Amino acid sequence: MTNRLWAVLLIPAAVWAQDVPLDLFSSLLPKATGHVEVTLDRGLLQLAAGFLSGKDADEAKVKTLLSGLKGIYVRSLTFAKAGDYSRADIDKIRAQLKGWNQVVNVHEAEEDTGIYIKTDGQRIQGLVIFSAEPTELTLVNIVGAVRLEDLRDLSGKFGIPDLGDVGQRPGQKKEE
Amino acid sequence: MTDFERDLRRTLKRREPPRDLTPAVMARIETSPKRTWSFGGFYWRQALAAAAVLVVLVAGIDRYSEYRKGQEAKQQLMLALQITGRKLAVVQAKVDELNRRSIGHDQ
Repeated sequence: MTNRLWAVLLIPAAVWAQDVPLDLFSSLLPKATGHVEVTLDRGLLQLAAGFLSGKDADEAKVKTLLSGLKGIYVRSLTFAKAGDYSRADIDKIRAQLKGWNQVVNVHEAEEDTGIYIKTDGQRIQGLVIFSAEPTELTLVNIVGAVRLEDLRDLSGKFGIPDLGDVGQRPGQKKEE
Repeated sequence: MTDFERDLRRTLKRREPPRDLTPAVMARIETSPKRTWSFGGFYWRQALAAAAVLVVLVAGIDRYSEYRKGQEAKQQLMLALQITGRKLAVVQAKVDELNRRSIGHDQ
């Protein structure tokens, strides 16, 4: 059942959209008690890849993941208490993602999570993960050829949690 | 003793140096001009050594700066992957939960 959902991520859908504006959270920044900002363009990704060992099996997997990427951008805000940002703020952020193909949308009373992709008809060329939790807002934008299988291969390594069936096609067994 | 032996003995006979040899040598050393690479008061050898040290220093700083930048990029990358992984895991868990509920509801 779960596989069916992740299989949706692999369905080609020609959606081209402009990259996500990096200042989506800027208006909420003054209210936040903490924030994480990661901006890795292609040059920095290549630089980072140069510092990954090809001999170490795990780092080699990261290198493989990076090979098709053009950028990784993360914006994450943490708030002291729930209610420090409003529903309208979330809607404003989601509105910026119009043009992206929303493949997962989990909407609960206090949490809102979405996964958006853009493809070139064959492969995912961009991925956005937007997560709104009561005291945390996170947006991850991965630009370039993303293979969810490569992400899943990093499960349990470098502090990355177990990703279970992420990126797994129906019927495909997870490699141990 | 043959003539040859006599010549040899004479040749190899110890001779004391003249008494003024040491002061004379020292005097010549002090008065001989020192070899310097100066040109119009500019000392090329020192300048070249300083330039070489400077080049090595700049190259070292540049290399270290590149190393620092690379390490920082690697750390940022790992942080980004951790956050991405964490969020994907959360989505996965939620979807699993919804699926379980859906299956339970169907049954």
